[in-house]
Amino acid sequence: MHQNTDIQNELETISPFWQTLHATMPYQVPAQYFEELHGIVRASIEKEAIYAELESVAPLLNTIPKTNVYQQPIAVPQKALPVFRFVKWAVAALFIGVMAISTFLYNSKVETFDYSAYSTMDHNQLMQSMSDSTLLSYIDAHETLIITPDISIPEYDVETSTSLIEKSSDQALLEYIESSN
Amino acid sequence: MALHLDDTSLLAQFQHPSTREKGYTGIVKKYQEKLYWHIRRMLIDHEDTNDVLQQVLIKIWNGLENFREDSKLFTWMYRIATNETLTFIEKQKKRATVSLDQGDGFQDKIKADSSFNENQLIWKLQLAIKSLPEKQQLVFNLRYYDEMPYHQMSELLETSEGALKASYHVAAKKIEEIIKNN
Repeated sequence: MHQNTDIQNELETISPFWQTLHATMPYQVPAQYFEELHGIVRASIEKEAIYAELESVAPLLNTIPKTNVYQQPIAVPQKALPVFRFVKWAVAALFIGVMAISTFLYNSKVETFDYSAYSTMDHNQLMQSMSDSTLLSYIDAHETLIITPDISIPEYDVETSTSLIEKSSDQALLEYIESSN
Repeated sequence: MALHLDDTSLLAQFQHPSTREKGYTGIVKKYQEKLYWHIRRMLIDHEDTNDVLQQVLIKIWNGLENFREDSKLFTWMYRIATNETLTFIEKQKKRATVSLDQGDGFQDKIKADSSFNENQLIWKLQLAIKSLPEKQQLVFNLRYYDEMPYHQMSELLETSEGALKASYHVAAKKIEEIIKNN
């Protein structure tokens, strides 16, 4: 029914049919629509202002979509709890430590040899106590150490040298003596 | 029912930079429902209505600074809403022509409403209104639902009061006939 009686009366002059109708709308509106509309419009106004501002400064930028080109890394589920991770590192550190100490001890080991025993040894008695075959086998085994290389000078041929001197001129001999000095 | 300031006070708030936001909010809250139903009666669909109404409210924000009080605020806002809605309908018609769709589809939209009941008089009325030419629909809705005086409607639609009255009477008779014949 109309609140304005003028409008109601006007309709009734057109036809009494209109008395049977009520001016109500059958359509539904989503809940809270009118409560939220103002906020939505304010946000749109703000967005439009930002667009207009950029349009006046650098319109090209408004043609570029604002989609994010970067991607978040895919979260990998943790395979082990943090405490197990520590155990892993601890075992690794222990292994490295053991290896380092072992290497150090191995390298720092000094071989000691009792040379003083040789000084007090009676060599003559020792040699006499050895059999000939033992000594020969030792000499054979260490031949390279005992036998010196052949450094003998060939026998000088005096005759040949004399004939050479005789055949040479005095000048050649002088030159040889000078060059030798 | 919420109490609203009169238009002059709301406009005064809007004109002052420190209370501009408050003034605009007051105007929106005062008229949003009337504007919504004005648009919804023409577009039927809520989503379409929501899109158009948001555009209308943005235009109101942009134009309010230059609003001259030689016309009523309400009439000025209704004009924006009417023009935006008619533009939207025109765009829809062009799209329908391109896709070889028959009719404007409003009858189908009414029938698609979740609470539609073809036996109820209230729904028959909606279907009948939508069978009228657009201008007649507009006049009928403004008078029947919004109870707008002819002089205000005249200012809004820039048509003489006599022509509007005639248009309204013709529309009412047509609707009666349609409902009675169905």
